[in-house]
Amino acid sequence: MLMVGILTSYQKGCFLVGNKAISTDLLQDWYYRMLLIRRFEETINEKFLAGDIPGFVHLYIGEEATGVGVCSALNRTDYITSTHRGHGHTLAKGAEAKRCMAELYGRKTGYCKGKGGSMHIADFGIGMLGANGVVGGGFNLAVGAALAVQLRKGSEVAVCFFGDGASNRGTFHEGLNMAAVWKLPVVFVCENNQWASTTPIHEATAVTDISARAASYAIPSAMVDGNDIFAVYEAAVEAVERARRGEGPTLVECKTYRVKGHFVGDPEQYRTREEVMNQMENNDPIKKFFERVLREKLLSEEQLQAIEQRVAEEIEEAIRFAEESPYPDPEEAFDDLYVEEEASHA
Amino acid sequence: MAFVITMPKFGLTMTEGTVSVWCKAVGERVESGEVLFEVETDKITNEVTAPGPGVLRHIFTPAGAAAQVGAALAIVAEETEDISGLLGAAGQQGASESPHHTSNDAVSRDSNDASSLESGDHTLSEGFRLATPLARKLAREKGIDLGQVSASGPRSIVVSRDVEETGSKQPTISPAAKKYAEEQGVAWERIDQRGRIMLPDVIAEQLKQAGGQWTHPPQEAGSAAVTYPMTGARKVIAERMTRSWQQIPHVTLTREVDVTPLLAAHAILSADLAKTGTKLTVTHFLVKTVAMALQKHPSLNAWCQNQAITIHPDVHLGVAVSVEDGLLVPVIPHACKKDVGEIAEALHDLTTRAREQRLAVDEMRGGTFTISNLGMMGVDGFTPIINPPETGILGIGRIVEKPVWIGDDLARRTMLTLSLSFDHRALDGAEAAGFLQTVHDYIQQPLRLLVKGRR
Amino acid sequence: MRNISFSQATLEAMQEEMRRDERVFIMGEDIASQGGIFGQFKGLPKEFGLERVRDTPISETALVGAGIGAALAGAVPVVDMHFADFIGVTMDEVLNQMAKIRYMFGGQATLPLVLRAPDGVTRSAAAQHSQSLEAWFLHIPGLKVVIPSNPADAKGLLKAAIRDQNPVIYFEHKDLFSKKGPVPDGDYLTPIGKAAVVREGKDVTIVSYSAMLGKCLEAADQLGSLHGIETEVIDLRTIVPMDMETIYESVKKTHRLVVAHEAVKTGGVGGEIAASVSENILEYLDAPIIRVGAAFTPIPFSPPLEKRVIPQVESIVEAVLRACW
Repeated sequence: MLMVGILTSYQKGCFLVGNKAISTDLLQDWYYRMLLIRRFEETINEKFLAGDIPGFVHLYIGEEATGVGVCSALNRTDYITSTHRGHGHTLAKGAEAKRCMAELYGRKTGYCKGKGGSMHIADFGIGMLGANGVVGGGFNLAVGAALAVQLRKGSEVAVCFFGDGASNRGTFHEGLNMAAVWKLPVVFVCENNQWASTTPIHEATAVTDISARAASYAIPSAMVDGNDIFAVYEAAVEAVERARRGEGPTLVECKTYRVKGHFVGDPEQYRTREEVMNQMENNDPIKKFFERVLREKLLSEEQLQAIEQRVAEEIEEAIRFAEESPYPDPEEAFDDLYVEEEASHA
Repeated sequence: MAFVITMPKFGLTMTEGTVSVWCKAVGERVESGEVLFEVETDKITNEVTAPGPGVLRHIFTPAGAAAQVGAALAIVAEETEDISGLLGAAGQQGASESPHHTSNDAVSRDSNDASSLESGDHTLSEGFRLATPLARKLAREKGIDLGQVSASGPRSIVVSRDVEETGSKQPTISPAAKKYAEEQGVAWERIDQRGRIMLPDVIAEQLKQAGGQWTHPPQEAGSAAVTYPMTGARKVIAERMTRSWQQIPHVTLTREVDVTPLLAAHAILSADLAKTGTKLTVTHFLVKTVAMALQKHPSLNAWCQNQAITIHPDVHLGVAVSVEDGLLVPVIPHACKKDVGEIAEALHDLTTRAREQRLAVDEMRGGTFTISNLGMMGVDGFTPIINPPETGILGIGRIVEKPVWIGDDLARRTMLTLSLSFDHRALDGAEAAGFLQTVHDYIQQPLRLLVKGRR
Repeated sequence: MRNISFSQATLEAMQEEMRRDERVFIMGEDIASQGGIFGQFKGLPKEFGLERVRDTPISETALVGAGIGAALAGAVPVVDMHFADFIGVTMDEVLNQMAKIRYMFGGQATLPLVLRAPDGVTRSAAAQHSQSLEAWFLHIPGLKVVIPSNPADAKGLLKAAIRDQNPVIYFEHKDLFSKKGPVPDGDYLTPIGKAAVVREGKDVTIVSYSAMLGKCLEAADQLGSLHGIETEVIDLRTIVPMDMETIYESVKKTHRLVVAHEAVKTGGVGGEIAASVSENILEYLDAPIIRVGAAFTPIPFSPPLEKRVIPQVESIVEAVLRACW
């Protein structure tokens, strides 16, 4: 097992991770995306509790470094599959906050025209093949997307985000085995946030390092601090490049922590407040990033403040957009079930 | 629990039946499954058992009266149970021999409940009239009150044909009856008949219109002529025979056949089979012989109807059986595939049940050829009438010893006369004669009967 | 017109569609090296290679899940289930992914996927290899379900299913694979969602499909010659979307309806048809609608037991007589 260390070298205002440079632009983009997700989720929390958002929502707060770190190693045309905790992945892959917000509000202008909501958010335009209400539902969709790429001799990669809970589903085994025997361009990214709903990992999972399972499928793996975006990025770049070279799948385990309840409104009787406070205090990915870039003078305070301002405006605009957007006409419930025309693929 | 006993439907085409006897009297107790009454239909008599235990409280249709299928015949209920509602609701669609009475009854009831008529509600005040959705739709469209329609469906449900028959101004009439009526100048429209008018009804009407002398001949003490209407089996036989004789150009061929070799074979096999309890007769051999010969002459194993000839691959042989007050033709299915022993068993079973009037209607359907045997009555030859839509019927005469010239020698041989009537529309004389020749050949060499089912 | 077997007809459909569109590929257990248990894939790997005709691990969940993922990423997968019974193993993929992805993502996704599912009773395959499960999928919006009864439709429907942009479950009755029938020459499609009136009659309508259709036609012959009943027989061909108009038109003429299928009668397609007919054209019925289906038991192994629980020609004749008051 490979434990990826913190950054390797720093030259002329630019870090190198493997052979990939981390520019100031990329650092700013990381901060922007992580903060966008954080503020988006905080707003959702507030709006849900205020009764503005129907259904139920699962928040990504505290895990932003994983989604943003992995997605920044991908191209727009690469694919990701997601989980029921999918807003973060969607925004990390490059979706617009306002259309995500509108979807959560159940509005016609949302990505899924109000048919999906929080658990089924998707943006096929950027290769985001959907959040998934079934735990472990995304493994084989990613495997299949990678199979399609391999069949057409394309260069895209498919990433499957999944949680430690999902690793106990049969789909994990079938998907990893199939990807391995066919050497498919897929990266399995485990967000090990220590909690499967209300169950801590050690109560439900015999081997708590999910990356250890890669050996069963003869595929390489990495285990990184999922709250250190530099570490996540480095591991992701290596795995994605291996996939592009046609060398098959990689399992990347990101150790992180779910600071919010399983869903908004979760009374969280299964863990102590101290445990959560300790994580927020000492293991917050955005705080860690913020402190490091200032300490190492990678970004200036002004640059960071400008980003914070931009995020605040964007969230405000997203709320306004969502709240002003119309609900779908009830008759639209009958749209989009089937492709109506019998058009040929040719 | 109260049961309204209705006229059951035996077989697909039954529309009407006659209660021949009530096995229980009103007030008598009947158990579930016990025989309650017997029904005489076109061809058979069936026993009907009680659907549940109770007391026979009321009879709508007395013995000897006819009723439409599904019509209420009686009520079985517990001794103290209130059946007044059932008496009204079921009684109005009772026996068919008194249609005026029942319809008047219905009208008077409806006039007491004019609002239901005006609102187009077809339920009776006594309750919901059972009817299929299509019957309701037709009744609504034709403006017919369902209460006035007699029910022929199971459980007294009104089906569409009931409404159609009620709705049509003119009663339906069979084509043969209509033709006869037109030829004879009988005003058949005046016939007071609830069901379909058949030829005998027209004839009866003709007599009535002619002055009815036949029904009132001069009477002398002790020697009065008795006139009675043709009913049940007699009526059907009359109608069918008339239709066959009028519509089918019959030709009858007769041929005398030496059956000595067949009798020899019969002697051997009947001794063998006797040990198994099967009684083998010469008739069984002849049935087998005819079944095999028919396979070689398919134009006689055929139906001729609607200007089309249907050739049947298998032989289903009807055998005319004389029963009390009539004639039944049970069918031996797949006769060509049975051996002589199996034919003996099948025929014995059918004949026994025919005489006991226990045949199902479907056991008398689907025949492809018929055999009629009058030999045991001392008849030499006759002209049998074809059983439509079949194309032939073979009459069997008596077996008699005769002096026969064989070459220059006069021999004592056992002879039998066969009479074949065939439908000259479907085939010609040479083909029919060929069939008789084949029958003759089998009889001369009965061993050939062993190879079965070959054309 | 040529006289070829049902399995040959499906093979031709695969060949023609794989030649026409290079995005079409097929995967399943034991299809490439062995040619399929009914020979329905024989020769495909030779022409198209083991990439496009691929044997998979015994991982039905991954098989269907990957089929869905591949379709989302632009391929046109045909997934062979080996036996329809094994759809049970991968039901989440069918129920929660395949059927819903297009809808819940607001029409962003298209899912041109065909799930081939050999079903039905044949030669004592017993309880876990003999089922007819089409009714399950009638109950799940988002899927199309086709179920041919003869070689010509087998080919035409498979080609249509492959070209359809929606997920289609293609049930192929195992007992039909060896049955021969006339198949038109050249490129043709059998429209999905169109039933066929295969025999006209005025007295009663029988609706059926798949292998049971042959038994219905036999029953119709008997009903004609022995009982003088003229039977109209409709081959449904597609379960979803169901061509109710053709059924309504026929029932309006005959006023009597019998529905026959090999699947268990309880909760079956027949019940759905009966309900729709009585909801919409009740006033045309002159008798109760009769359903014919398998008994409420798993399919037993021993031949006489198997025969007992599956509708036979006599069952259909009897049902029609029950509907002919």
